[in-house]
Amino acid sequence: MSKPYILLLEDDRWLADSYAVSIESADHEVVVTDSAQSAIDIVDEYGAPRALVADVMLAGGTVFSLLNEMGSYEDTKHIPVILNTSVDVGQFHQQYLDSYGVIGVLDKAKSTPNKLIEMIKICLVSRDGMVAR
Amino acid sequence: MNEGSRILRGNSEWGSLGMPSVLAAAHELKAPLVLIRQLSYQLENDGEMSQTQSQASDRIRMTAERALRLVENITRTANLDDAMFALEPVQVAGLWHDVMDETALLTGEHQQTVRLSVPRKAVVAIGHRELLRATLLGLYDNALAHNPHGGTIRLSAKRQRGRVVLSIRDEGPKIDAKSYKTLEYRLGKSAQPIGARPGSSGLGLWIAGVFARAMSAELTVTRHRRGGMTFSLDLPASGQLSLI
Repeated sequence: MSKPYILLLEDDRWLADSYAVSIESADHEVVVTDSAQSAIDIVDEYGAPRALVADVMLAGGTVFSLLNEMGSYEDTKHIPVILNTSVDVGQFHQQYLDSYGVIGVLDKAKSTPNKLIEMIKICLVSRDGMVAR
Repeated sequence: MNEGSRILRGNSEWGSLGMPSVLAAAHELKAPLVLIRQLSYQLENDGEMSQTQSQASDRIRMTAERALRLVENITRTANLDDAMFALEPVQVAGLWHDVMDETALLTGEHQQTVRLSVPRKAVVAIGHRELLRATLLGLYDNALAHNPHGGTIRLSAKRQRGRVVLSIRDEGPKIDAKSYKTLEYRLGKSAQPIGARPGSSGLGLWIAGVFARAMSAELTVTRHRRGGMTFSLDLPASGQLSLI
């Protein structure tokens, strides 16, 4: 990995490709993956990403098992997270989301590429401030 | 009963089709619509499109967004059984402004003019903000679908004998008396027969009726002699601001 990267976890390949184009257009390196397990493998190989952009519903479960796993290691527990989802996350308490380092939630049906880039910027600022989980 | 804490339970509206299959279908539809919408943004951001291509991309996105609204509303109707809706005072002028903001691009694309008429003094109804917003968006989509090119859509809100009436009037084609009777009878109860108003199954109106009932509101329709329809949502008024 030539420079710090954004990890994009999205199981719809075409959607993932399109988000990746948007993120790269803002001069971020992106690594795309489609499962929680492969996300862990990528982190093991390349080190912790600057931020994680993740769908909530994944094949075989939700993203929260991954977030729980990342939260248990020193090098990954401060990774800021953006949830990019079609699920109504209003059902989750803010405190619950905070505990997983979720900085923001985007509704796939209403968000735009610009909003995603803005949210990543916020994440990176938050990361530099080392927001603790 | 305190109006802010009033709670209603909705009814399942899907009969033998069953909620799980409806929810599954809605979820399956949502994913490709989200993808279509996202790809239209990607095309736009790539630049180098002609005006015609850019317009086509905008229309693809707006069509996907309209379909997404329908899918989300279908999901809501299936969840009314499980949900407990706390009704609260809602300022209705703000709701109409939300609808106008959300549909501004779509309205422009259809070359429509929108006129909003609300009293100076705040009109406050008792309802569920998100359901009301979704209901009004559905009625607005319906008006856009039927209004002629370059037409006007009139939105209004008024107090009437302890109630609040939100109306949306379009200039769509005249319909005959028999079709109108059917439309009026089935409004909000079941989908409309194809052809009641050309180009519509009445799904959006049916959803609006379901949401209205969940809020103890009533959805009615008026046919105008020179063409066009007015759909009205009649809600309990809040007395909250009358003391000010």
